[in-house]
Amino acid sequence: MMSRLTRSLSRNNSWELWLTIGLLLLLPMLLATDYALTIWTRMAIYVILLTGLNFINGMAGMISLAQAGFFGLGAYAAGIAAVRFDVPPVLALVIAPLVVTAAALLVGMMSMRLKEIYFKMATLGAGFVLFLLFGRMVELTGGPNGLVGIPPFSVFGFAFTEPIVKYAFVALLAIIGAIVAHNLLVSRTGRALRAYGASEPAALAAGASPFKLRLLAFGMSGFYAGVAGALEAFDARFISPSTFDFMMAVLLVVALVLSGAGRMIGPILGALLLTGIEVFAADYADYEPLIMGVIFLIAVQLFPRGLAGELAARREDRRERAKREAAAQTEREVVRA
Amino acid sequence: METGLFIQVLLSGLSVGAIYAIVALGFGVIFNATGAINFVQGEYVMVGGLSAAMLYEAWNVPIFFAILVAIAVTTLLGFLTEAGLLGFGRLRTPAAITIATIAIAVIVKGAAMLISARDTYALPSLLGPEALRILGASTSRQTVLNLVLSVLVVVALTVFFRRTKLGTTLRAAAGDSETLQTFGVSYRTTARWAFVIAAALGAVAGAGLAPLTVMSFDSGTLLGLKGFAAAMLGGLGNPQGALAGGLLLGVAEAVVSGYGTSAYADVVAFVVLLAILTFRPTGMFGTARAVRT
Repeated sequence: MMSRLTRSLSRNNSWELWLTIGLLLLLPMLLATDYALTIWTRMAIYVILLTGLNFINGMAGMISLAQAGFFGLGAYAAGIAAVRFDVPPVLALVIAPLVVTAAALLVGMMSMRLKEIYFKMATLGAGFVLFLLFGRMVELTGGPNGLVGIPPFSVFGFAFTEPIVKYAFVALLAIIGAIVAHNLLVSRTGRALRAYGASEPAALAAGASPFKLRLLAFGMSGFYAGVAGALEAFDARFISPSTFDFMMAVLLVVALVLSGAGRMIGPILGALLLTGIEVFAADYADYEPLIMGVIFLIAVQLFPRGLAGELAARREDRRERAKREAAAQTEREVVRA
Repeated sequence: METGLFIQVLLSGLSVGAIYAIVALGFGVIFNATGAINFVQGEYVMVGGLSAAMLYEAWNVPIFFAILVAIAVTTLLGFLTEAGLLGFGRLRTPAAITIATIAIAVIVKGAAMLISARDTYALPSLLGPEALRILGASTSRQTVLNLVLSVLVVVALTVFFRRTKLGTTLRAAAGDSETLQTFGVSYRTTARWAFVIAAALGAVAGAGLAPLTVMSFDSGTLLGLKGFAAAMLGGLGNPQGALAGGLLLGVAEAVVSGYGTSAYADVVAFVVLLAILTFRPTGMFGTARAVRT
């Protein structure tokens, strides 16, 4: 346990950051048709969203089911600002993250001290309140039919309507987000956060303050969700509550946990997984929940600690076994001598 | 007239609140036996209500038999849930079981969507369609049935947990499941009974709810969360608390939709849930477990 903790803290994860940046730059080159680019754009939005979720799920070690709601809040904040109040998109892109950060800090303050399963329920409740409000505040949000007429993103009169321009913009923000997350991760604060994810008693003993750290994780996750939401609103130019429902909250967590919560590589792999599911689901809409549920159940049964966690644990076991065998070997040699 | 409206609101609140109480009891039974929160609980309510209403409306099965079959089907689902969760032998921690129940809830919902073809169904009241008049207010006769049902369920569960051997075993599992295992009672046996009981409770709740509101494949998530809010309100795992919490939540919702706007009635449960988790996570009447770190 202890050795796993120290290793997870000393891990710099630099190659994972480079791989994330590389994939964001190279993937669109594989297939750059207009349709493919809209899919890559969604993927890049998910990278931002999951990088945010990673601060809580990965590093602070708690499972938050509020991220879909925060994502929606960001989308609606930007969409409503642009449609109802004629706020320029650039400003809306600034407002949305601030609104979501404030909401996330509030939810964080309310739920932070709760034990794991209660924390899960509190974040799920918060996400669900937001989801319900998107559908019920009809004058503001357009209700279940969605918010229509969102303008494309534009700077100084130049509208981002070309698929390649849209992708470049979203990917740039995703890369900046990943670099910021990486820098935070290797900083003293980030190490303390990861120490929490790995072993809470150990982190406490080392004198890290849980309250401030978790609040920071929440604030960061909210900020990223706000950016992702605003980008989603300007990209799709139409948003409806069903995009941000319970299923989405679950999918985000599953994608991140399966692809490596707490690691820099997690968000990009999770985003690829989510986008793959979306493309696949378009053809099998009726069977999607059933198939997803079965895959999810099998995954949880096979890898209760997540795919990356499981692989790391196996490596750990192999290493420990090798160490034990080596020790036994020396012992035998000592006995023989 | 004002008192008439008030009584009307109160009765409709109690009627739905009684159902939330039964759902909350289901959460408590599983929580006590496994320490996990069962996300399938809301889906049990959906399956119970939807299958009874489908049997009655689409296949013309007599209502009484339709409800019995629905309860049997849902109870079987509870049995299968336990097998799907613990049958592979790797999941044992409450947190991991909780996550796995989300997967099963998604599966159940997905299957219900295919079977019901996204149609909505409803049941008539077992006591007939005539309205019941009390002090100038009129309400469905189902209200009386639901209230009686919820009290009966609480009494039956209390007697079961206090007076029968199986009930005592389940209570012991809530206290210290490891010690219980050294006495030769397997973890899976207690868990299986807990899931079967919780599913049966869910089915009863669904059958009681189907005459009050239409049921569809996606009713479960919201109902489950409301039931959970009711359980937290009364203290998770506390049967009398569940009854009080459910009734209180039902009335609070009815007050918001009666005097305010029905659009925000669904939000009440979540505000209650967040408030109780923030300020008094042990619930109004307490629970034996630690809820804060």
